[in-house]
Amino acid sequence: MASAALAGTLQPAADGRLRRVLRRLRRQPASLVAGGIILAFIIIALAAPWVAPQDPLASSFLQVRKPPSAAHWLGTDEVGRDVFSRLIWGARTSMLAGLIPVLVALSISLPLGLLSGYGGGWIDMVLMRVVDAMLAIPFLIIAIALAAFLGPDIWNAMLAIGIAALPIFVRLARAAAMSVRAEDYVEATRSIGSSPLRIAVRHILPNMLPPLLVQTSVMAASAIIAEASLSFLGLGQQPPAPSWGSMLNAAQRHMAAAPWMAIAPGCAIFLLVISLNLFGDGLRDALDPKRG
Amino acid sequence: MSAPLLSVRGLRKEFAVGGLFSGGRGRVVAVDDVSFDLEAGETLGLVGESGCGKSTTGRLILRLVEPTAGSVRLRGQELSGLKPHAMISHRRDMQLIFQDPYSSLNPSMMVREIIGEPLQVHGVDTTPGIDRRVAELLALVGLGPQHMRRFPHEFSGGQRQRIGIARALALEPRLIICDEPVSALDVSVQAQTLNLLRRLQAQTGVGLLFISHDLMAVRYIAQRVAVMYLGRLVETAPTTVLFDAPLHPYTRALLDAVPAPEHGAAPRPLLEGELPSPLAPPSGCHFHPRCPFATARCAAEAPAVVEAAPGHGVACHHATTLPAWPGLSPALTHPVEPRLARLLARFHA
Repeated sequence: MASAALAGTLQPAADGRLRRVLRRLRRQPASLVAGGIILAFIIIALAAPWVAPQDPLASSFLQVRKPPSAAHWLGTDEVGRDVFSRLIWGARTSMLAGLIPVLVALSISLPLGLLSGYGGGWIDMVLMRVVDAMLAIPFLIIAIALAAFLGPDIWNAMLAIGIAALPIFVRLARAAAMSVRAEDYVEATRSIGSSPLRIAVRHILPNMLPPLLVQTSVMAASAIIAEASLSFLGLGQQPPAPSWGSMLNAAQRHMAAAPWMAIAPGCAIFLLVISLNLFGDGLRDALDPKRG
Repeated sequence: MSAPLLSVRGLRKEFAVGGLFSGGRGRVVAVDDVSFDLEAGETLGLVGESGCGKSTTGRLILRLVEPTAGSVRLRGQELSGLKPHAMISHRRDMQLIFQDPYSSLNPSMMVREIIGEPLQVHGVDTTPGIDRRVAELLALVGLGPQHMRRFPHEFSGGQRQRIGIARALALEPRLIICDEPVSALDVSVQAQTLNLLRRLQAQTGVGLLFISHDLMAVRYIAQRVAVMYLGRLVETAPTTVLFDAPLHPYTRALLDAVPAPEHGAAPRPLLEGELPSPLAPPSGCHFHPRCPFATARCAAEAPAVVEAAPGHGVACHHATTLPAWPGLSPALTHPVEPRLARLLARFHA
């Protein structure tokens, strides 16, 4: 039935739509810069083996907690590993830690929110009580409990963070679906005789996305930080492999003696998170069809 | 005589209000025993104050809201009680035009998708292509094929309303329900839109149910007018009769309230009081607390609709004994209000 309904849709002129979004993005210098930074981080993460000057895992007891120098641009950590190289390799984990949980949360919450907000009825009732129960427990506690249940592994940690973020996403998706449902154009398509599936997929879903996109960029930021927390507890990135979060957590014991250990990953997280937020804002404005 | 295009009998809608914590459930009778006919090619104006049930009546006819009771027949075919899938084929024949041209078009769809959607849903054969048919429809409402690949936000309110009209015309319906189609538009664009609807009606013979609180717009476009108060029809008459010799005190009050340019005439006393809450409608005739002619009987007994003249129904106990109405404000006695007339003349071209 799904294929039948979708086969009937006009081929959306993706070209025109994409060009419009790009044209609008170009008008926002802040989000362009932010997008550039994110892109740079992605390239660095992908090219880590070639960009990193040293082995991120090679420790040296002669070089413990050395300040930045020509040999080690950002200094060394508590077992003498090169912070700069670890930062570059850590970008891989941290970028994924921001991306995967968001994808998990979004892909589950969109259909659930649609079902709940547009379908309503007892499904809505049951879903919302489950969501309420999850919201009563702090985000990080759920993530930790799930990660511990799934076993210490970076992929499990990402899945756990994504699931822990679900209640907020489902709530938002439901609210978005409900507000779109009340629009006249939904009534217009009902009066034409459109099937509920068509209404949901063609009319409600596309107009639910803008408010969720903003939450996505905020969520990516907190997922990166949550990964750091899980890594600190030994539930995320397993040592000695680097991630920005685990580096930051290791650095916290040496803040007074070796501040560079914290400054480098801290700045990297800060830069990525603020870029994600700015880019998400810009993207939402560019996607908003109501703006000229 | 063949069946009228649309025949509504005893239409009624109750809404449950209040819930768990509001101390018992109440109900609102939004539409109460409404009956009327509409012929093909005819325009029936449905007027009344905000909240009187006009829009609900339109949605009940389209079954966007399920009626509590009553019958709706389209060309003699009973629609009430039809299952959703059986209803779909009838939806081709009935379309809706909305008040707000901003929220009635999906902002994420291009014009050709918006207008093409009814054709797709009903699997209309659009050889040689859906774009061609959409372009025809756009031309019908005075827009061009270059508008097909644009999004609704790129248009003005009047243009959007025309896109909405093109969408309503896509399936060549026999009945279009216009729910305050010009209320959200500028006066000049109102005139354009009214003329467009008239022209399209002349071309296609579509029947229009024109829901509005704008009496002058109704007078311009409708051949017959039905006046609604708190969910009930109080007077139904041909347009000229209704505007020249209204019988129901509420109709008179509505006509007195039409703002007219200063013309030396003393202003008419306006209706006192608010529209009563539909939660607790007044007993008997719903209008009696505000009616200058009300008697004890009005509070006790709801008046039935009686034919004062052929085609002129009125629901008032005193319809035959009321003093003569002084007539429409002199400034409004032209067929069309002068300022509007000038504008209309300009846009007729």
